[in-house]
Amino acid sequence: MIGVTSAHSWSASVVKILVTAQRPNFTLPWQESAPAQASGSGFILQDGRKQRLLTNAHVVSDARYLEVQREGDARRFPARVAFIGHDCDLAVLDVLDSAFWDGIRPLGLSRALPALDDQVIAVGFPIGGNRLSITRGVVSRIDYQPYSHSDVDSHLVLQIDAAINPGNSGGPVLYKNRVVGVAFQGIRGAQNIGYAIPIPVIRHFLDDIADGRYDGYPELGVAHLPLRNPALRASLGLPTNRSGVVVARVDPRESAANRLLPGDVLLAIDGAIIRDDGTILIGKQPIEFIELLERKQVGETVFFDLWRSNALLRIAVPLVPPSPDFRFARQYDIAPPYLVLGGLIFSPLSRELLIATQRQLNMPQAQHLLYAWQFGRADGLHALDRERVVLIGRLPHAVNAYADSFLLSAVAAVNDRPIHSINDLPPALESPVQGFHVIRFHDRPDFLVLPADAADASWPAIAALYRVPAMSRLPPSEQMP
Amino acid sequence: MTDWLSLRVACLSAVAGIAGLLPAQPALPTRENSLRDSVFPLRVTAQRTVPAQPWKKEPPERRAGYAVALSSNRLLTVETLVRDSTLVELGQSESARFTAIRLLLTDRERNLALLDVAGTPFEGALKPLEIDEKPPLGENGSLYHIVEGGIFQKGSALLLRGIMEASDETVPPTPAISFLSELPVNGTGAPILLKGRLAGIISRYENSTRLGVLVPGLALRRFAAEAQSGAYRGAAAAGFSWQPLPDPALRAFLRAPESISEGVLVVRTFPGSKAAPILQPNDILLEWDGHHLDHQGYYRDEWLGPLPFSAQIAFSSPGDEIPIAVLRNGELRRDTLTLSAWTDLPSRVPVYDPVPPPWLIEGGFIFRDLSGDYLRAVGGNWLMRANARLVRLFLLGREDPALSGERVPLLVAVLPDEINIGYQEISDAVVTHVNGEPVQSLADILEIRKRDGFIHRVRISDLHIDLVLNREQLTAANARIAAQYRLPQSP
Repeated sequence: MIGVTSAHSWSASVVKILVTAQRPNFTLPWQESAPAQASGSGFILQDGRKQRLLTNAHVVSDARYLEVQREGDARRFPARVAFIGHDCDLAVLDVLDSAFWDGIRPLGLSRALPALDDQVIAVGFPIGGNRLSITRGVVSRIDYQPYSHSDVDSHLVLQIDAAINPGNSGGPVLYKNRVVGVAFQGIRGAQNIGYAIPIPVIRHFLDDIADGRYDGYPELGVAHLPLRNPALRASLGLPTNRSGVVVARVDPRESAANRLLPGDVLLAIDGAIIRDDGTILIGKQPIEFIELLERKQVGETVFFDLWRSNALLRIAVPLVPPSPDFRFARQYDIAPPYLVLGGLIFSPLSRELLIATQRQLNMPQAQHLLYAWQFGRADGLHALDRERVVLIGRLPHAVNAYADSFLLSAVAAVNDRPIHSINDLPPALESPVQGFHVIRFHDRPDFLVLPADAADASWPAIAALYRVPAMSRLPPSEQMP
Repeated sequence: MTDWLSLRVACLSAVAGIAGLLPAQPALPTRENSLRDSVFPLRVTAQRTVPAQPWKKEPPERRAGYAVALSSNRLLTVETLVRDSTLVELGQSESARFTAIRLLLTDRERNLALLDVAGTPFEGALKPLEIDEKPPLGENGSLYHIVEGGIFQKGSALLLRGIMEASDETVPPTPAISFLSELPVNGTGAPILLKGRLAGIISRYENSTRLGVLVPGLALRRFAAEAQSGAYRGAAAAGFSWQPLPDPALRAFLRAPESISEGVLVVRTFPGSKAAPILQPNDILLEWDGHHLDHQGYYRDEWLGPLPFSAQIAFSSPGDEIPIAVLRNGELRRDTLTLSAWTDLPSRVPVYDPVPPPWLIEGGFIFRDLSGDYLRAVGGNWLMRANARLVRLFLLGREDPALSGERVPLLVAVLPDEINIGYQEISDAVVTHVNGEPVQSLADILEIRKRDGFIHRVRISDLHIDLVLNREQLTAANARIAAQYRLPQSP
């Protein structure tokens, strides 16, 4: 149902965002793609005393130049990203030119989620025109679902039966003229299904940045089983009048580490009863219990009532910043770290690297990368290492003529020093073994050697020939927790 | 090693240049009475097991090929033709009658199988062909197969070159001869004769290019001799892995004298092998059985030309003593290495399943051991598409001999029933404990099941708690699940 207009003048609230972006090249990490132009939507939200220009993170990711434009106004105003949350696909932009703000009419954030079947409208600038578009539909589902921007995060989602098209992203979804969501993704191949980021996620983002910094969502770091099996319940000694989920694994790097234990039965979170399928009731809606944790910020505490060793306990879990290690979220607004040694390119394993090399991932040596990606956390690789450092490519030169069979292998040690992150490479390279750099890899017994002096001497020629601007780009060093 | 692959590619790319070498005579069907008692059509019904549901079989598959007489009651064919067979039938060229015969022995590594007609209704006579152990390359042989009416068709086949060939990607390659055929070939196992002697049998062919691969006479002779001895031990294994050593930097790091540019690098020796006390990682293997090895591991075979030295292993037998020369820390050492049997070094993760693969279902939990066949059942690109944790265990475990029977026991999937509510989405998980005890194989699980009478606690590597089943309800649940899912008795 497209093109239904409203009496409200949305042009004072909803803007078009024009983006010039460049993605990094994850196989030649010192290079970037050609600048590409795209557009999205945004809107002005009244956040307490502040007026925020809100949009999706994916609209402005990797932006090199941003402009915003109001409907009916020929002027384009330069903008910049003030805050961005890739895990929740939201961003706030700054527009410094005060002329932009003249006549702006901020929208208010609704206090409550709309109910199923409530009629909502999506306002924005979808592709195919420069004028505002208004699409009307009803709320068809409220659910916990994956957010495709990061590929690893799931949050609450508002599903509406109105199409969300490219360009709509970042525009408001309104119920009774108040914002209940930010349009952000659709389903390829499905008609008239659109998704919006709902109020709790928007609220979480705005509260997070209130201190001038975005911390992101804390992770509990617990794998749990539903407690629907009577034998499992009985083995835990759980009284029949209790319900909950049983903790099956605790991530040593997230909030629950050393607080929750395998075998604990989580009975309630902040007083809300957890049912045997892992849901709690919010109103009459069953929602994953993790949703209550989702509404908390890093630094806050969540309380669990739990059953441990045949006794009831209340455990406080202070929420810590999430660990990015071995999580493999999509990466944006970063310059990929790398190091070139004798023409061999080393870079951390990332989702982008897997995507860029997907045609070569059927080689046996690349299998460790798939394993680390899918099972690194479950199998505790991140308890030892910060990341996997991969030999991602070879800039051919006489010094590295025999290295091809090692491409896409993950480095375990260099010169007998273990490699926990790419920052471990430079110190390891300071101590060659008998004049050679000896590089060993995960899951293969053979090893690669480079004559140290020849590798060092090759740099000027390789840098000039392949136009590599610097031998390395490394992130600031961090200690393993 | 990839040597055989590159050879195969080289061989295929040479087609255009070689096609003109074949004689231009037409291949007409001929009445070839002399081969009537030596070459027989073979009809095979095969059914593969479904690896994730090992009690089930795929729909029956029909294959046709050939067998050649080896003695008065035995015949040879290729293993790939009779793999997973449920019925093997031997025909006669001039009659439409097929007779069920016995499959005595198969060897997947050598891609050969031994058939027996003794005690079967087969009434014909078998007249063995004389085997030409080393048919010369570059010669035109005669390829025979049978066409409609039971008539032998004869065509020219040019023996091209020695290659390394594996029956599938999970077994080590063995030496073979590539050939270019005048005829489109209509079945594996068909013979190529050279001056009336059996040069080999066809293991693979591609009618679009007319190229094929021949298991040569020498391999047939060795297999036959060992099989007839009654104590068949299968292919030989050297007990170590190696890699080419062309890199001068690596050679210098290993302190190889600059004057020596040959030899390959010993990467690791397999525990329990005869190589373990003799070779060490980082040794440079210079000579194998009197042959000098170049830095790719090739030697010049007098008959087949340049081949990797693994060809020599394939032509050897378990127990053979092989003189070797290695360079260790710059020092030349000579020793003798005794070859093991391939089957004496069972992998922790076998590349293929025994038939039938053992399994157990308890409370709807399907248990079996991990194997290459299990992963390959995912289909093409299984290295990428199968469960990455299991693929990694396979790659690490296939060359890791498990001398005390360790395997990787799996909880393959859960057959939904009320007893296993809450666990039904678990699949492809590695089982670490059963009834509170660590397990390292399905055999361990079966042992615990036999001892305790039930399995009521299972721990998998993903989770740090036990999956618990109601002990009192297990017997009834097992009966219910067996009936519901039509399960046979566990083997």
